[in-house]
Amino acid sequence: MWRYLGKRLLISLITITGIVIVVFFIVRVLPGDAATVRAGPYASEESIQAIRDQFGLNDPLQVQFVDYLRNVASGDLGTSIRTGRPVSEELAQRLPASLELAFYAVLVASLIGIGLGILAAARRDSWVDHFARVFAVFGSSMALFWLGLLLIYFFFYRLRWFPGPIDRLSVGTPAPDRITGFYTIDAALRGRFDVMIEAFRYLVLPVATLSFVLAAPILKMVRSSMLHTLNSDHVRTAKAMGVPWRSVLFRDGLRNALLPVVTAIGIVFGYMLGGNIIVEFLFAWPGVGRYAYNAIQVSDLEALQGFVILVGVLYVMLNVAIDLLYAWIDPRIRLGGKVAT
Amino acid sequence: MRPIKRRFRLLVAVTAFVLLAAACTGDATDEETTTTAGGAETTTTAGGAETTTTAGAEEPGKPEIVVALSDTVNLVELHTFRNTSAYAATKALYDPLIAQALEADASGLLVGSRTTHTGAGAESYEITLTDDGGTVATFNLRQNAGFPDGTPVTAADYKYVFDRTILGPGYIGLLLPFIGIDSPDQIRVIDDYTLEITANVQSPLFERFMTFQVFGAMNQALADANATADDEWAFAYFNDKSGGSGPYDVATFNPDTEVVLVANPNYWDAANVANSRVTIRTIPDANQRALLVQSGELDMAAGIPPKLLAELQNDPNVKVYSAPTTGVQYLAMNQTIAPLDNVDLRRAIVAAVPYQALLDQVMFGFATPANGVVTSTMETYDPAIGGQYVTDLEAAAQHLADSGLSDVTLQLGVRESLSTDQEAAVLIQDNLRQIGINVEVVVLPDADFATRTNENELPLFIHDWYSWGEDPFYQMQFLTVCDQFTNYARFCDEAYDAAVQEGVFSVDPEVRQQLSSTAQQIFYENAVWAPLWSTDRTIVTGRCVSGVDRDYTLVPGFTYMTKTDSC
Repeated sequence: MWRYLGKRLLISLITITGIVIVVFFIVRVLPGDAATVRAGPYASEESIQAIRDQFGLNDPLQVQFVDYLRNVASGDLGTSIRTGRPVSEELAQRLPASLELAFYAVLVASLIGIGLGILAAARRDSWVDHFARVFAVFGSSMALFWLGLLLIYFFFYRLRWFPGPIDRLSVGTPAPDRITGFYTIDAALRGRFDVMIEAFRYLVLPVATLSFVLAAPILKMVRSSMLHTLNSDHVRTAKAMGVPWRSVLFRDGLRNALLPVVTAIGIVFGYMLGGNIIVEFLFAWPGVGRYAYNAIQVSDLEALQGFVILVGVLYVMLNVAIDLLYAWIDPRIRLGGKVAT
Repeated sequence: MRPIKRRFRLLVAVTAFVLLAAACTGDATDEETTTTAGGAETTTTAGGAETTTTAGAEEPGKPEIVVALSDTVNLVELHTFRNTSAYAATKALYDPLIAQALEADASGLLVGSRTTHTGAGAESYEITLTDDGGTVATFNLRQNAGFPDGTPVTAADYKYVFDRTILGPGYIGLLLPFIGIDSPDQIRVIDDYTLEITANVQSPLFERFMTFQVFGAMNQALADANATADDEWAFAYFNDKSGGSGPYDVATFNPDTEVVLVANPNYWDAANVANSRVTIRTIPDANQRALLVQSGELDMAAGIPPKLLAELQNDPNVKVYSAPTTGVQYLAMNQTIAPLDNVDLRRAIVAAVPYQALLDQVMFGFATPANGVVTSTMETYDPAIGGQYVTDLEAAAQHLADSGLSDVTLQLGVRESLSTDQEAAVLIQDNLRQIGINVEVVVLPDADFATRTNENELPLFIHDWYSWGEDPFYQMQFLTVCDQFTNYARFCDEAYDAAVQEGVFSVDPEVRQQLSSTAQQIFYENAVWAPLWSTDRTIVTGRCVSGVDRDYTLVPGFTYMTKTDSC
């Protein structure tokens, strides 16, 4: 197991190094001059040059690259040309908001996707199965921004069931003292249950937007994997031997169908880490996605590359976690197929 | 049961991973608390990303206002702000020497006068034009004005901000040549409450510039205490803190998310500040800003697109304030890029632009005709010249024939963030196609657009401008004189420049009118731009919100904004 873990970590390290190098060059071929934007409309050529000097943008590319590698290695992702603050600190401040949103969205999507997927497979071609398939088609084809707009319009503006897209808490409600950065958890740990409920209420619409769309691939994966497993020899044998259906479904079916589902959830969660820019924009959610959006608007290169590196590193960490889960679920993987089957 | 246990373990493991990742991103205990010069308490998180300052008590009985501007407030430093939202925040924090007199119009909007100014940080003032062509202004400061920490405001604090402007690295110093100030020696502290400014020119802009918050008092003691060898004017320190003596102080600063301002109890006119606290929330989507005002969660929103404004006008729950400005949206034709160096081609384009359609279908009436570099809403505008900017496709076709050009194809650059510019580009494209000019509309990221216009790469593009002080010669000086870096059309004409240069430092209204008309005529004959429209300044508020103002800055002031439960 340790050897397996070591191998995975080594591959991760190589991947992260690759990400860091590729990000540097990709970000620099993007159009737009950050110094011009920072200097503003009144800026003279001299002041633009001064900003370029200040941020090292006039240095040769190889010098910029070496400085960049040195800084990244020491955890310094540079200074945002837009705000004048360290990028690593700005990302650290915003990451919990994104993670909290992603966590609940994936959790809800998984509950819906796995639950509906099992039901659809267990009752194939029934109305439940048809409903699940229609749900999956809608979820796959629904544009996030459109669904978000609809939910805001009906559930905030028309019905007033949930708060508007204004942030993570209402104006005037102080955020709970930070422990994890998740408002729902921090508020509970601090005993501020009113704030916890409010934080949950602000999460409902963005989580519903994301989870509706994210549940679709999970549902499809669970359904197809379960159908495949339920049609296998060992399940047929179990049924023939009179094993109760519930036991067949969960012990023999779901357990064996779990591997591809874990992969699907992992991919969905990874996508959420970097892909919820639209939802964060729409719901004024103060996460890293919106930070990246603002950075793109003004070619804030260091902020942008910091964001991409952060998402890349998180994605790699997530993949390591999934690999370890795999090995834990299926001993054949960690033992290199040496276990008797 | 084992599979269920395993699934539970799996869930716990994933949850633990997520929580661990979140916990690793920051440390709640990693805070430092410092006390500023005046005793205001500042709490800064590890990265300095969030600042909470308790400065002054909230006044009971005054409402709290929640607003959303068109952009994020990413810093509140007086001389390095980068967008209008940050500029609005600095307006609330810094108190200039004088202010425009405000008068309510029929809609209740408090409109600043261009001719009558009143004391702000200065209780009274006197401006004298000297025989040698200069200006001497004496400002008698209020003795009851203070910074939020209790430090009294003195003449030295005003001199400090001028010194910072002249000697520091910020770009506000670019304004000072227009009023004849280039040395700190021209700003003299006569005593604690008397400031004398000597300008070496006579300019109608002098009084107007003194109303700008960028020349508002800055707490010199606080700045000196936080200056460093690399940052002798403490720019970094004031990125998220106020150094001003204006109506508000910064209570919470979360860049891109929320800035909370609380009333400054030591502001000289604190009793008349109509609210106790202003929360500026960042709501990036304009549609959501509008919905939040309609639902009452926001009291005021800016940056609402014209089409949405037209819909909101019919909503009884909101008020839409609209006032003309002197800003200009223009179709620039770069004269250094062929074939736009051909004046007849430029004239053809100017005549083909669908001016009225732009006002009706793009701006939905929230704009006035621009009619030139000196807009129709500006002093010295000449209607005999500006009235010639009308759509005439026959004349346009004739100009195109005169140009001797055929199969003309042009790229028209517009900014990604401005949907109105993109809509205008489509209408312009259609009209130009009718006279035989093919246009490809290129939507560019804002940063790319700025770079390309600066580097003289775009032939045809839609740009905009608003001149602080709303002076026609200042506007022409920045936009259309030879070799000016913001002259994006690269127009250059000696006679034009001479008229503008003379007008900038002329205080005689008749002379100014004559010089302005001369310049406007040259501008029209050379078809420098097609002036598309002059955008109105619009603000949307809740039904029971009042005290919205409109001054030279165009950004909303919060000082007199208040609301009632019913109205």
